[in-house]
Amino acid sequence: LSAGDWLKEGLLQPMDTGQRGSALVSGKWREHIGGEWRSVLLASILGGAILVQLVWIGGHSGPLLVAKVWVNRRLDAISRSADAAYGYDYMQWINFLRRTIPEEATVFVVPTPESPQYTLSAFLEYFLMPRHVSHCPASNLRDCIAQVAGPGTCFLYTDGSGMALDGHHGLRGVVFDDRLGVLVPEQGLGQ
Amino acid sequence: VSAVLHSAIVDILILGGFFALGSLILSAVRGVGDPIFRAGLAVPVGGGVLTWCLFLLSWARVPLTAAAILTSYAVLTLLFSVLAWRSGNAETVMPLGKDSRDEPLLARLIASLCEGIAIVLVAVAFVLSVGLSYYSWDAIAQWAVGGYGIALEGSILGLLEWGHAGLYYPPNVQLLISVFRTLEGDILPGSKAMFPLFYAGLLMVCYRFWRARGLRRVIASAATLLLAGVPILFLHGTMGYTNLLMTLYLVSGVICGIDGVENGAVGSTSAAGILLGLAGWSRPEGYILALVCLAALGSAALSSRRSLRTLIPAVIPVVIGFTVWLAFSLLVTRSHPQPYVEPVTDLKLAIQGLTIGDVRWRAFLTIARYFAGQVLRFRDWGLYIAIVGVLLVVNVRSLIARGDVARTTLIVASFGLGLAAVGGDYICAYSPHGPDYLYTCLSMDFNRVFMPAGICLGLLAFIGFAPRQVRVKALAPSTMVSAVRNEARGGPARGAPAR
Repeated sequence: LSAGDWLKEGLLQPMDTGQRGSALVSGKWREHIGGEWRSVLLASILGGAILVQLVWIGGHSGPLLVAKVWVNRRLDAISRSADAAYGYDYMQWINFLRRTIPEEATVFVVPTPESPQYTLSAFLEYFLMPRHVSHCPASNLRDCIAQVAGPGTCFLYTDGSGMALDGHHGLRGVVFDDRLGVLVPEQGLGQ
Repeated sequence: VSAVLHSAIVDILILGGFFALGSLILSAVRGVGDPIFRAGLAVPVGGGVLTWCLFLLSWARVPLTAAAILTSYAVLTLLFSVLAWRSGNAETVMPLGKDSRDEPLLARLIASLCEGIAIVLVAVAFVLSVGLSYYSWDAIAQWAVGGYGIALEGSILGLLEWGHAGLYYPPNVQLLISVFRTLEGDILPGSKAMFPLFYAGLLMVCYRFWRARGLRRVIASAATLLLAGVPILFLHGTMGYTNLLMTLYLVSGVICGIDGVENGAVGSTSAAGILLGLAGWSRPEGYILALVCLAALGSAALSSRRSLRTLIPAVIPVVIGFTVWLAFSLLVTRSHPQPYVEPVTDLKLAIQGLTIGDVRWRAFLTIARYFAGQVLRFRDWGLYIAIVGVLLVVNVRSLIARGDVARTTLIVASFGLGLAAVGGDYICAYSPHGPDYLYTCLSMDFNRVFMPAGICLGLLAFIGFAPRQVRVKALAPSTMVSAVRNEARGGPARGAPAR
């Protein structure tokens, strides 16, 4: 079979056994695309579409396979999650929290609409489990601490405001950078 | 290294356990005789039925420990082994389609290439899924943390403490994840290996459907590769969302239902019922979409003058699943404050608005514009919707076949599932966040809620290439099967209208 015959008889032949083209296609063009030309055209479109999609997937997956999967292959699942979700700095922040906050602690955080990955309790719980993470009952850290501070509570801050509260209510500030940090009880939790 | 190796071995055993249980269930209902179809569905069916039983146990206040999970698994396996042994072979065997050995060498080579690339895509999805761990928002804040919370608390009520979804979402995926967490700590995480299997299952089910409809192997393989390359499907094979699993349940439920209605096979419709029931067990909108699929099957049965009684086994599991979930929602969910009630609020406001005649016409325009944009935007559906649209136009005459069960079911299901996706986002127009919130809903939800409709449209578009043996009108089931098998061997379809 020639390539044209194959496309007509071997590839798309069953379609041609029915009507000669769509009701929406008429005239001279219909004669051309009713047979071999239609087969060639449709096979080309389908093949081209598959190729374009594969190129997209390759472009999407390749960098991830190298930069996230291969490079992070020795990291634990939580660290890989953090890096894949929000990058290296976020992974460092999460690992800092996991090192600093005892597992039996309850963590409070003031939710903010911007950068929810730093302040949304359900999202942070995944990374900090088995530590419970809750939203502060107050809209600022100072009031939050005043309301819920206790021997088993820690407080995250994401705007640098926490350092001013170092020493308040028996809390000790542990700094991650000039913006991020955590206030942990000086006593009452295993260090 | 030894901990990772140990974890990987346990993960393989868990997935193998799901597979074995799912195979037994599909054998027990005598629904799915085809090995490819069964291989694609065994893990989601086995896992889904196990989690449903774990849910009932937890509701009965049995702690979900490793011992409870393993005992439940053993009891289910024993039960379905006995049922499978008593039921014998599958009631229907999906017709094989034309033997690919009749096709030219080049066609077979291209088909093999397409199938090989599709397998590579699944392998890449597998490496990405496990390698990246949980990395997308809902996968972390709802599913993974919910599953880990269930494992930590030993109860489905752990969802009230852990994660964003609360008890508002049916906890199929959370319970699946909790099985891995309870049995081996989900160190790899092995639970992420399920999602590429769902992706592979969807591809296998669609491929098998097209082949069973008589598509040549090369076209079925190319169509499967086109589907595998759809960005949103590939991404969901790596992300850890529930939409892909629900889509797999719905699409395979529709396919089993078509087989059952066409052949009057109770086994296939029973399998369809289990699959559609599991769709409802995976997402809150699942029961609505399962009803749409049942309606599509019912309309196909009526239009082909077949008995609706064939569909009763498909309806029963959906009704049981829905009744149990409704009872749980009324007795348990309502008595606990839920962390995530926004969709419920929007739905209540929409119903209130619609009952007083407040129809937001502008919202429909926004949705239509958004949908049109998706055809142009590559990131979600690639070129799939455009190709499917072209094929639907090209094959329009062969697709409108009165009395054809497959075509009628897929037309009604595509339309109904698409309409449900539109309706699901339309209620956002009534949100207290204001009318602009509709666009937020669309950009967050529409493409993944549209997945079942999109797949059904693709199934429909490509069967336009099939020989028209399935246009046989109201034949007796035995005649139908023999006609299909005869044509599959290359001979004329006995009892079928001449071409």
